[in-house]
Amino acid sequence: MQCIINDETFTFEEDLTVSQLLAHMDIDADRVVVEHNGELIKKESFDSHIVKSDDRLELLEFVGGG
Amino acid sequence: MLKIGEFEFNSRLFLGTGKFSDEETQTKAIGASETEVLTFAVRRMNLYDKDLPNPLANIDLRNYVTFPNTAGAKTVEETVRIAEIADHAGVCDMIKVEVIGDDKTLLPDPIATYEACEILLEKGYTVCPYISNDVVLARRLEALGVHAVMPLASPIGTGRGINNPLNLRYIIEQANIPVIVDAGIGSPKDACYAMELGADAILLNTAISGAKDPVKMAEAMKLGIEAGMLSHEAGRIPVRYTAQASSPAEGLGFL
Repeated sequence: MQCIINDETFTFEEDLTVSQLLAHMDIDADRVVVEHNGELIKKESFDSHIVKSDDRLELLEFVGGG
Repeated sequence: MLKIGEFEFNSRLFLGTGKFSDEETQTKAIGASETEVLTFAVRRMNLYDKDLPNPLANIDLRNYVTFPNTAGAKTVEETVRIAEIADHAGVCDMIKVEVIGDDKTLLPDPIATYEACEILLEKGYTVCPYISNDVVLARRLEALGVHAVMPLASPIGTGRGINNPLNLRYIIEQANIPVIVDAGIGSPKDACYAMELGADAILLNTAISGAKDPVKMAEAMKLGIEAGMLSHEAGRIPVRYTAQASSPAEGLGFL
């Protein structure tokens, strides 16, 4: 499965849930905001929401700012 | 007590969380400032360097009124999108609408700001736009229904203090909603001056995070803001052209 994450192409062996994908990428699920094909995904749905080929993900977080 | 939308504040210092050197300094500075409001930004996560410091990551935002900015947005659509991301994550009690219209000066785009505010108000946000020292725009935004206006002291990060006290005063005197002076504060005297002019609160970041001792500067800012507010309430003396003796002119016959 090939998908676009933050404008870069990533390849995984199969379709993944958001939780699995984050775990693969070693990303803290508590820290990240996930946008999947333009739709913001609730944390409660990370375990069930499936990412497929050609999907686009934005992985966002809150950072210091004024 | 300062009231913005449904939120009430004892502290008049709103603090941005950018550019602190480390988490410990930031935590201590936040404590010393006694702020009740934290501002922060939304960015893409770095996918490769998980160890990149994010001093905000370990702050419990639930202890504060969350006030994300839309910094980085240059269009109405981008502004609304950032607000929705913050709201989705549950950290958007109030939104600082910041639509930059000029890369060199980082001055806001007044038209895009107005349009973004209109959309966000319709969506039910507590909306506080960052604006130039434009009394007409401030009035138009108030009529639109924004919950506070945030005129700049001077361009972001310049530390130049109150660049246009006259226009700032025009905004403050005609406003029926809170006026938060935002950006360009360099030292406590600037924050104090803004409060003396009648501002309701100050939003600052670099003046504290960039100081040699951010924790000490946070306390200094807090005191400066308190002093300025007391001074405004007390009513300062008029500025005169000629000297006025403070000791009596009578009773000098012995000389």
